[in-house]
Amino acid sequence: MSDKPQFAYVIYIRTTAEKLWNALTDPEQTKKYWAGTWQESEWRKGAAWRIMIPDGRVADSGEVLEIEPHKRLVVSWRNEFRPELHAEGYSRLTYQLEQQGDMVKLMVTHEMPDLPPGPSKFIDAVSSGWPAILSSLKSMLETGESLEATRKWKVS
Amino acid sequence: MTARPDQFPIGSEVFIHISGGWPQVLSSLKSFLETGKGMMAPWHGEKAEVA
Repeated sequence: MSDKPQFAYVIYIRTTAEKLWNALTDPEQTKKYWAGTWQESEWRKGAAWRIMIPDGRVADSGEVLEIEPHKRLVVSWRNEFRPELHAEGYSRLTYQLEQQGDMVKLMVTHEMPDLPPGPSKFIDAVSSGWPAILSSLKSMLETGESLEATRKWKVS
Repeated sequence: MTARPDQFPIGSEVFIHISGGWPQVLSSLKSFLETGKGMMAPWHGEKAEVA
């Protein structure tokens, strides 16, 4: 295993892999738990991928590296609106979904494959964002309502 | 729970993180608080009641 800068998180959600996959990729759903943002992609290997901010800016951009619907998604991901994060280049995000009875185990890893071991501003930034986003995603799928703090983009 | 040695080799931080029971316990706690029903751990028998 590399000792590259990385973030890892595991969360169990009472839903189906198909519903979780849709919640991770459908713009109308991501807006509810991911700060009003949505993702644009044709969702095939090699396709462009980006996260859009409600004011029209591109937050992050990259490419779909691997895609297996309802099971696995890997994208390259570079920040496009914070220069100090942009400067670190492309990260790699992996979702893995595993149905286990009436719940799905979602494993999220976000790493910097091209950076040397050590601190990463990008990983620090996403490490503070993912837990809230994933908690809100779980709430949305299980209760129908996302967490209020995650619903809107905060102007920084 | 399972891990994929090809992606998260034994001994790595990620493997340890994923192998532990905390993610499941905390996920179940959140479900219990928000919906009134906890989650069934995979190692429980099918008749185990967690609600």
